[in-house]
Amino acid sequence: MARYILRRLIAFCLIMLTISLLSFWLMRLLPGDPIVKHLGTSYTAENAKAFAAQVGLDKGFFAQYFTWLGDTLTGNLGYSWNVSPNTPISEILSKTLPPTIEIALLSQVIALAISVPASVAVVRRPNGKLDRGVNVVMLSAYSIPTLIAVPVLTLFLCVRYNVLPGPSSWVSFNEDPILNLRVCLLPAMAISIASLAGHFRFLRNDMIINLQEDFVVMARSKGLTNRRILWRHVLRPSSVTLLTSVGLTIGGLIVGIFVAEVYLSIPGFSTQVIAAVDTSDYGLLQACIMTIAFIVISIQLIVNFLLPIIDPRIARD
Amino acid sequence: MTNVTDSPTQADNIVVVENLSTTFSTPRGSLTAVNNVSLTIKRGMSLGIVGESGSGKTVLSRSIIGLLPPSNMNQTGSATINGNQIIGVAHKELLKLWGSEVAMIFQDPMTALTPTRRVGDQIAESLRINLKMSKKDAKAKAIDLLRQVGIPSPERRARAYPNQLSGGMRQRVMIAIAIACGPEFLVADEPTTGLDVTVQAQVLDLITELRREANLTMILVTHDLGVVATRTDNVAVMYAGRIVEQAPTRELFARVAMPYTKGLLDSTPRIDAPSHTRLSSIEGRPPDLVNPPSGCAFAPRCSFAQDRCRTEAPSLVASTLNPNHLFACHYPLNGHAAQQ
Repeated sequence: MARYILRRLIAFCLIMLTISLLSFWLMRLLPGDPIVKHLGTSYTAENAKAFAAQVGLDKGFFAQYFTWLGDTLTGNLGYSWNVSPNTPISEILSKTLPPTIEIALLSQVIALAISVPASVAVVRRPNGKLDRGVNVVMLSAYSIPTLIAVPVLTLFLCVRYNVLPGPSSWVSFNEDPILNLRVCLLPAMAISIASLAGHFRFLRNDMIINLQEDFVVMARSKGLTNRRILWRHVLRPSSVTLLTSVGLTIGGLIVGIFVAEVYLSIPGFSTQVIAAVDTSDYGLLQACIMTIAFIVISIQLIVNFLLPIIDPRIARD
Repeated sequence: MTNVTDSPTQADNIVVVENLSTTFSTPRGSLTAVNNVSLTIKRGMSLGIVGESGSGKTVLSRSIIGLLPPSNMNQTGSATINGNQIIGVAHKELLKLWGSEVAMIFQDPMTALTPTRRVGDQIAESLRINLKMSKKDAKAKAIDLLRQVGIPSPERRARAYPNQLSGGMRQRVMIAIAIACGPEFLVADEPTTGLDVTVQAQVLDLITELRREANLTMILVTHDLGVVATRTDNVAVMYAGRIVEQAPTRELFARVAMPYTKGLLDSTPRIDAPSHTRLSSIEGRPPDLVNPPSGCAFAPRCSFAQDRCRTEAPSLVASTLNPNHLFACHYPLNGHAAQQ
């Protein structure tokens, strides 16, 4: 066990280092000059030189990289240049991450709350009317871009039926937890739509395969109801692909969440990412990328850790 | 308890099967896996069902207890267990029988236990559902059952997942699940095929012992004639979905009537044969059950077959030598002849 954790940790560090180096290099290839963006109309050759010297942009690539690496490892993330000039990056992250993570997690809770019962319901008759119907609905939902889902849901849930607070109602969880959750519900619903079809298909297919197994006949011969067999005997061994899919999905939600955050004026993390790209705010962008990488790899670690717990046949390597 | 007499002559028929046919609809057409089978089993007796792979023995045994999934399947005829009709009744009615009156042991202990649940829970579940036991009582009874089937340190094993146990132990767990609620009728489908030879005998001894204690009736599905010879009272030989020979076990091995059964016996290795004796086999393959041959289904592979065999299907008849010895053959061996 200790060996397993140690090996995973070493791999974790190596991946993070690789990502940091690659992203550090790639963002400097992006069009756009951070100095021009920072100085704007007050741009002069002297000002530019002074700013470059101040933030270290006048040094070579590796000098910049290792300065950044040393600073980051000692807990100093630096300041934003252009998005929110002179604000500590750590402060930006701690403020903007919670809403985005909240929306991401809530969206997966919603997606699972729908896809799991739907899968259990349709596998009773694979390729039956219900199965085909649900498949069509799921695929149709999958084809709705978040860009459309957010305004349409807003129109129905906030304007027509007025059950959820509309755009620009954001409050933090500490101020008003109930209102905060209600605000997050709409973007979470809009984003869950994209995850639904995948989760549903994975679970449905695995359940259909597992329903052919002897242990299902065995469970039947014990006198268990079909309902109990599906929920207590088939669901868990069929959730391995689903769990992996959830883990992979969470990392990819950032773009959809960006749309929702912009549309609903939620001061979230993905807005910062896009703004940092837009203004060549290298420090902030690098911090954002490392945060995303950290979250994605951590989720994979957690998934890897959970899989043998869900199905004891899977051995930890 | 009902009045159970010890006299075998008065023992009632716990299982009565009449003209049972099971047909599956497949993309190629309808496949008759069980064709017009009738049999009875007396309480406390064991019936061995033998045959090649695909002869319909598993489908027959599962049909009798109603365990086949209803989709793409059609059944005619009748099967009763303790007077309860199995064929054509609602799933709800079968649920009352399964687990409590009827239980099953499966071939492969690797795949027949739910991989994601602790074995103790899998036994306790049956007790809680069928006997409405409390969680605590069921857990204690599950550990008792594990002890009864000979699993060492049952408290610890009850918490194990199936993959943490050996094949023999898993088969014992499966037996514990089967006998948990005191069933009267047990279907054991190749219960020892997946096990080492030494473990096979232990598992069979365990089943025999448990059967004796509870006067349990059993169908033992197997292709192992050695197992049949020592563990069953009667044998039914299946070929292409039909019973082609049926007799008390001792009688069958003494005087085979049907060339197919003879073929099965001849293809069993014998300990007293000289070493390097070539094992005989039955030529050809079992017939396609979607397009069965006319006449006797075994005729194309039978060295005794004559023209009549290829046109006229023999029906199952009693022998003049022993009225309990039934066979379906126009030209039976060993002096058997059909009773008129």
